[in-house]
Amino acid sequence: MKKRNIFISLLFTLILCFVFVYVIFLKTPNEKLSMEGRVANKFIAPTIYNIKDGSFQSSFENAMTDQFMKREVFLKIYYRYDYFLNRISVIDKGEYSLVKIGDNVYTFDAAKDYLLEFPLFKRNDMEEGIVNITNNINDISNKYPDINMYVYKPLRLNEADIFDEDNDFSAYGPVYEDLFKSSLNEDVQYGTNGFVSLEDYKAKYYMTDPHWNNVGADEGYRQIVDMFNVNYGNIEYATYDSEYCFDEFEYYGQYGRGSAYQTKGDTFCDYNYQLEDYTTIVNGEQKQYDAKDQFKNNTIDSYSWNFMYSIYHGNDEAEIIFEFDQNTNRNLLVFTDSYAGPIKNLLASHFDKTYYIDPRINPDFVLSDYLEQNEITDILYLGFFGSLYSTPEYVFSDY
Amino acid sequence: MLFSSLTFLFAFLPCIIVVYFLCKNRTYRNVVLLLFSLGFYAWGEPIYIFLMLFSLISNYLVAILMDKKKDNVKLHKAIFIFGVMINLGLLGYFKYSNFFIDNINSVFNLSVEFLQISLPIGISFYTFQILSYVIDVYNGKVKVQKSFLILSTYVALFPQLIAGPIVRYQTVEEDLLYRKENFNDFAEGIRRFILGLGKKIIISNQVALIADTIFKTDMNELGFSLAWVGVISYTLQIYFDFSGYSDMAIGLGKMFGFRFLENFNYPYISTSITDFWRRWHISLSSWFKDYVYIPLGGNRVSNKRWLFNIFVVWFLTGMWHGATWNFIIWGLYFGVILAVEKMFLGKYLSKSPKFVQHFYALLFICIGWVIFRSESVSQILVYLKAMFGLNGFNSIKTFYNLSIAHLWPYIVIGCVASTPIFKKMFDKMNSKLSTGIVFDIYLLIIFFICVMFLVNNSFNPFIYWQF
Repeated sequence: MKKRNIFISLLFTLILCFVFVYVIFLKTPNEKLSMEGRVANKFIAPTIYNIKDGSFQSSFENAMTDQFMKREVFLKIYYRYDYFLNRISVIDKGEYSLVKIGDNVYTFDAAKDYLLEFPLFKRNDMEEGIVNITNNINDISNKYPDINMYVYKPLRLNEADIFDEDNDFSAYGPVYEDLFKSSLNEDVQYGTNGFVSLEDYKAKYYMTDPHWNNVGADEGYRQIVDMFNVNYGNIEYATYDSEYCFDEFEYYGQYGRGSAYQTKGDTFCDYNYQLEDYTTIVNGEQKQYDAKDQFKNNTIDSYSWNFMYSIYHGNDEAEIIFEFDQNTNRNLLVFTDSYAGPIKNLLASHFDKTYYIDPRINPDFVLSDYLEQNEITDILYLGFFGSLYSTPEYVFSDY
Repeated sequence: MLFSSLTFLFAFLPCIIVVYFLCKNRTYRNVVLLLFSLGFYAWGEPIYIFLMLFSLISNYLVAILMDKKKDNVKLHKAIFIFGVMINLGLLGYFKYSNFFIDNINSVFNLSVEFLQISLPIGISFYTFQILSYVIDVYNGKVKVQKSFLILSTYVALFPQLIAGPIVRYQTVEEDLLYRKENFNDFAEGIRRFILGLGKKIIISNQVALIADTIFKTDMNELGFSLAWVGVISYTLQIYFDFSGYSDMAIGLGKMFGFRFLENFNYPYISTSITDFWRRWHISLSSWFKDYVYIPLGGNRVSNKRWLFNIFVVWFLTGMWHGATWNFIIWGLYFGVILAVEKMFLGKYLSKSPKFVQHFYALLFICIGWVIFRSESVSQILVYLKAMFGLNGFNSIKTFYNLSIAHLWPYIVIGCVASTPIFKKMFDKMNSKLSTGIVFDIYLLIIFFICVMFLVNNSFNPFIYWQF
């Protein structure tokens, strides 16, 4: 018994000491954490000031977590364990029974590859948010009757009503959709893609990401063009001549990373569209917006591959201006989020100038000034329910 | 600093083990313990280390002076009262002043400004510890400790500093002076520590997700079954949180040669509320019994006076837990039940079948936790109404919509682990070498799982260190 006690005492102490020395003194610090998509906290030197105000302590604790040995392995095992527990916890299994597989990431009991967030349920702030934004859009539409107004909302899987069938869920996606649509003026055109079944969804969206893939984005683009054509009638769709796929790379989107890569990844593809030359001005600076060539030539850093959807198509920015020199006498203003990424250049190809504003990161934006200065003829709201229903920045007070 | 943090496990603990055991001399070892304990305390709130040092120095001097003037009865008593006033004054100022201001404002319709102070971590625990020392010195139960180092080490000892158990000086005096560390105790301490860590991280933190979600739910949507899931989860959360912490404290103490008394004895297998309070937070209930209830006369007084004594003790027990009315109501709630049990109910209960006794005890314990957990009197009432089906609807659907349904296995594990089943199994395994090795492997797996949870930075609040 004594030998056993000596052994366990020494083993435990050695484990603690080894981890301490390795994490703090030996290990090359992590710079970025790909699963979380953020910069890793590092150990900082203590000073009287940072100890007194507690910043050293909090920084040390954060660094201990971020720099912990085999951190990603621990996370993967944790998520596996959690997923196993979640799977056995589902009492009444059905085709659309949800199983938690990550941090606010779920999958279906029957179709394990498709990941989603928890179904949209009744939220007190949601209804209020819908009333606020639709009133605001209607007011803007009334004040500027010469400007064509459109709203396009790509659906997310957790807005669908498929959950009701098996699980007696009170999925509020369709309820909010109806409320949103019915609250808009007749002058404001509303569009959404929708999907009739899970199979339909699979064709249009990534398995591991809430965003649409090239098929879904192309469909969305065409539906938006159809809305434009209610006013213009003669806009032709941009066409593609081929598809480019990164076959050797497994893409894990937001949900894939959030579930610690427990499912198989996506194949990332893009259509090669035939577009006229254009220039892009990003936050006042003329430069290349997307990074398609860098990915195709494999000249981009390894970290960026983890965030391919946004970096490949171009990140969310406060303001991006697309200039196509084609004398349409139309200028489009788009209030957008990440869904516009794959189709920004396509939409812009039908206008002289297209202004993409992401209100979430553009606090200085004043709508009335912008409309006047840029001779806007069309305004499009393009975003998922989270942006439109519950992000106050999409409601403009200065119009 | 929390025991259940990577910083404690993989920075503080290895450092103190190595430095402590490198010192051969008992005095140096006590110095190491004291310095690390002060660092442990200062990690969270550096400024309040001075408050603790003030408390230490003043109580040290009070005890020395009391000892010197023990022949002068009046002066002896005066110094003692002064010492008690210092301790209660500090506790009252930091913990209760804003509560009094709030009540004065409400009653007299005033707008006295609140004091801009935060509650120093563990002040209730270390104040009660040092107060017990001062009272015991006054009563001549312990000899005065003339070494400031020893007294400081006793009060600041990191395993029990911020969330108990409330260790009395007389129980550790010998350990402070003459303890002999050995591998057997060290290994047993590790085992106890890991079991406590598992209780906290694997069970308490997980059921806390359920309890917190339900208690934060709109009370108008709270139905019968959801209310019960919430209160059962909270019942498990608070037990595994606090008993887990006590296990870790006892285990850490053992690693360094200290023997702390048990603080929990499976309270949820109680057969009455009287039995529950013999099993729950034993160090606190025995403190109030020895330092408040018995000095007031205990039960060897008239019925009226006895009821008064019960009222005082349970009012103070509630107050000790927090400066809000729900804690006071919670304390008085148990005071009333205990009085009723002692007067007549206890006799009937003891004659009833065991399952009735357990059901009775658990029902009133759960109701008590609703009072304890709720943030206002109105929330208590609405919650109790839902628990007894008086709001007219059931809401298991809400349980699914809250995204916590998948956590139910933790409730099952918690319910089983609330009974002595695992302990009996572990004791049996630990008694033989072959099964003992399996037990150690099992503990290392638990430790690994805990680290995994911590790396994931999951939900990790300690309930009891706010007291």
